[in-house]
Amino acid sequence: MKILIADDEMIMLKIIELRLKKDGHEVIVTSNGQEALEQIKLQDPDMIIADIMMPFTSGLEIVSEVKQSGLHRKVPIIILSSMGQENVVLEAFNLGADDYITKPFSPNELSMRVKRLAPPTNHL
Amino acid sequence: MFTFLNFFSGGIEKIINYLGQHFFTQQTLFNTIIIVGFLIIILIGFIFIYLFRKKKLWRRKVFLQISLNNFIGEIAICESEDELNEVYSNPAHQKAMRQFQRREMDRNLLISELAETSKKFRGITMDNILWLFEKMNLEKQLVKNLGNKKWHKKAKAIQQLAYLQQKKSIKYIFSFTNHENDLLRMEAQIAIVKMIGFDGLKFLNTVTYPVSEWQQLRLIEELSSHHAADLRNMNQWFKSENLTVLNFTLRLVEIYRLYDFYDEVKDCLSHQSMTICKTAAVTISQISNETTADLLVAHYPDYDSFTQLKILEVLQVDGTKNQLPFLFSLLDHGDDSYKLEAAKAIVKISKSGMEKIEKMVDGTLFPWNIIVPQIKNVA
Amino acid sequence: MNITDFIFQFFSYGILIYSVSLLLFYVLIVICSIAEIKLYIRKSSFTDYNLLASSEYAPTVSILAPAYNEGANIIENVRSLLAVHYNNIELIVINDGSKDDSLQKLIEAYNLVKIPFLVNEKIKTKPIRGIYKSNNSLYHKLIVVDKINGGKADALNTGINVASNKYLVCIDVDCILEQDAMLKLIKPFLEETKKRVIATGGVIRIANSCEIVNGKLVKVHLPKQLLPRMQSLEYIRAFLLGRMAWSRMNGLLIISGAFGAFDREIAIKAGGYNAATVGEDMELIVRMRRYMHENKLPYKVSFIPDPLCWTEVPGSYKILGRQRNRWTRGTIETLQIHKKMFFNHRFGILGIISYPYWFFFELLAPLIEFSGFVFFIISLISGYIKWPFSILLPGFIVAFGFLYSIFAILIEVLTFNQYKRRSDIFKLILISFAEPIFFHPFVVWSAVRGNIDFLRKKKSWGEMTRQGFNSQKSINHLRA
Repeated sequence: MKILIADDEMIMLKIIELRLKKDGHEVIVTSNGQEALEQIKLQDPDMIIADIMMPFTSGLEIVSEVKQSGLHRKVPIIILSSMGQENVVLEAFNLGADDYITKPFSPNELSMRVKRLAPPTNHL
Repeated sequence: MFTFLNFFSGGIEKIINYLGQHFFTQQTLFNTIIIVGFLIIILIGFIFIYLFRKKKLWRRKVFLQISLNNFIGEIAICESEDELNEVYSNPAHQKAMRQFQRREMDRNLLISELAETSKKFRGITMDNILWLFEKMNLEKQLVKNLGNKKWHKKAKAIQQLAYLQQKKSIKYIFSFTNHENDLLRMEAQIAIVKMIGFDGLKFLNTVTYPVSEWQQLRLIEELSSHHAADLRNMNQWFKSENLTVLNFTLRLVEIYRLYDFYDEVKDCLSHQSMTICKTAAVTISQISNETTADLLVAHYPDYDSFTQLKILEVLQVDGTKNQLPFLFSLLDHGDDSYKLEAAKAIVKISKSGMEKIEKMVDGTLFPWNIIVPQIKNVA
Repeated sequence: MNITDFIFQFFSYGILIYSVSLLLFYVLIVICSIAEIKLYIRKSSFTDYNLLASSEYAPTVSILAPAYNEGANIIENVRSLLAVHYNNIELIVINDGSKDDSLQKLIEAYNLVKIPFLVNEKIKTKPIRGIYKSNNSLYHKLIVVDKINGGKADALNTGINVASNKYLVCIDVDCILEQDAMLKLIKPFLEETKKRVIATGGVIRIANSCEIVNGKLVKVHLPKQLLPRMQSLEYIRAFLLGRMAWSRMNGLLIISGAFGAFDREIAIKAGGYNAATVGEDMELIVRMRRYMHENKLPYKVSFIPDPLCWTEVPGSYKILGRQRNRWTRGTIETLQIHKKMFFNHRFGILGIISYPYWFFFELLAPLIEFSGFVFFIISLISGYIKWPFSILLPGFIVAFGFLYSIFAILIEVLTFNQYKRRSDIFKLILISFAEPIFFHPFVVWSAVRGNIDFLRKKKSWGEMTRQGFNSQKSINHLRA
């Protein structure tokens, strides 16, 4: 699968990238919301993993943009954020996010959730 | 009058002459301007040198971080001890690491990165980071930092020890939990709680400095990621002379619904300090039983208006028919807020409450012309 | 010596002594602030603001945002305020009888309905027409108060009456907040254990020419226009050096009206904002402090050197002039109302240092400078110039001014360093040299006019012009 990750922390990106690559996925790395949206349009990923607190555009806005656009509506989006309050989680799901993981988190758990959300027709 | 003016202006003239000849001569003014000019140039130079150095250091840091990230990243996702050793013994990584170990500044950067990373992950990843920390013998550096004379470096080391779960240092850190330096004291308290959760609250037995509301907030947040353990020491804290400790204890009882301490909380309702009374009123409402509402009403006259209004709010949830006479008596209180809160409570307790109120008051006059619709609106 | 000599020397040395004492005071201020800022930054690096801002146990705060004819922007502004990174807030927007359709826009955008709501009128204000809350649970933190026009102070007082929490945050509705601003502003209230913190304020930064996306500050730029650029330097001097030092001495007389927090109980007991003055933000702080002194209660007014809030400043001489004119009148009115404190030891530092300082060095400074300037012109025209003395004198003062500005820039670079580009710092340095020509005389002149207008009892806000972001702001008093 081609997975796009968006997070403004370098170490976070690195660890998630290495973990997903180990599972055999192709990974696109972006460090802010604007870059993420551009790359989504260009590279057409099969899944998106995004943080909320990022410069330029928040992860929630990415969810909103992607789920409302025609092309990428069906792409599963996992939100990965340190904000765990109920209202934020609810808003994420309201906007169409497919899963919500709070930091601190376990990369192995992320790997499982990615497998779970993979569109059935897509095999590596 | 004239002689006075003469005298006055003569005096000023003398002062001016003196100043003109000794302080404010042309030469001194000129010299001072030159000196100031020099200072300005030096400062400007300093600004740019500083900016230059800062950028250089930053660039280096970013460069180091990139290679560090690679290394830490690969370690982080290892799934077995063998894998860890394999990655670790990779010659490229070994070489990079030796470079890091050489300078103290770089070792501290490494420790800082490891500490920051361990904050963000759970599970095997976290364990791997700790494994790396120990394998690279960074503990020595951290302990050295702990002994640094500057308090903020000490505090940073304490914080990092906690992130890296170095439980061996707990005894040493504990000695700082009643230190006179605010930051050291607070970081030590947080560090211990971070590492061993509720057991770490032992410092409440001995702390004499006040635990600020801010610190209490931090402690509560820290505790929320640990399981509520058996709180043996709590009895002692109820008897503490440090009022902030008592306050914190009440909050713990409230948040974790510790019904066992009902009697102690009850005693706090008659405490000298109004702050304690108010906190106790809120706490007891969270662990209430059938007698609580009457208890609160009994203490009501002794309290200040904040606490009294708080009690009315509590009665809106826990009130029973017993309190109705008391509540009805408040309907003509001087302060309208009391009328509102009492009415809310009455309506909550009794089905016919609203009816009775409407019979008693003139619904066309202020404030009832707003209170009645307001209560009905929310219902 | 003859009479002309005497007058000349009297004036020259008088102004010189005044300036030197002012500058010495500035030096003292600088020394005080550096230590304080260093301490703050160290402490700050240990706090995880993210974690605490989302805590459900953090105290609830009532945000008061008065609005008048905000029209086009009100919806966005409210949206960005609701999105502030602090969980436990109650946002009270007070529509001060706007003549445009602000209220209607809000009602539509946020599904507002008029509800019956008892307001305990602890402070007397102009009547409230209605209180609105949202049907949509997403906006449950929002309360909109519609009232008859009464001015900013009156609107804020209404907000105080409506608010139900212990801490109030008064904010200009189009302020852009830093992510952790709310928590940082409230922190002093919770940290202090020996005294009661009655008010806190932070640093206001200039948003002109900064990139703002969706109500969030994305990139900082030094303002491109000349006047806002000049004001950047001015703000750095005033906030980083001046206020920090006053806060350390616990002599701070002012919190910016654009973004400040107050203890609700004390604000009410002190009587709320004074609607009869144009300097209501400063006057309230002085009155709250006075209240604490008169009741012998230990207290503190805290200042946070962190940049918390970004706002637009006037870009034209006309609007800048009105703003400074108003600030001057506000200062005079406040000092006049509280003249009892002048050198009155009953009021501690407030009476012995703060008040006299503001009187001599803030209020009188523009007047003395102006008369110095007039005097200089007169001596030029009448030919009575002691060459090169008459150049050296102002030269001396101006040189010190440069030094002070450069020093402020240095402190800015060493501490929070908002302007990261070297070219921006360079431009700031150039600005210090351009200031005495393009900016300072105008500000002095506006202050003089302020004095004149005060004596003529002009008590209006002037006209409020709004073009996107351009309007009169309530940040008060930047010197020192």
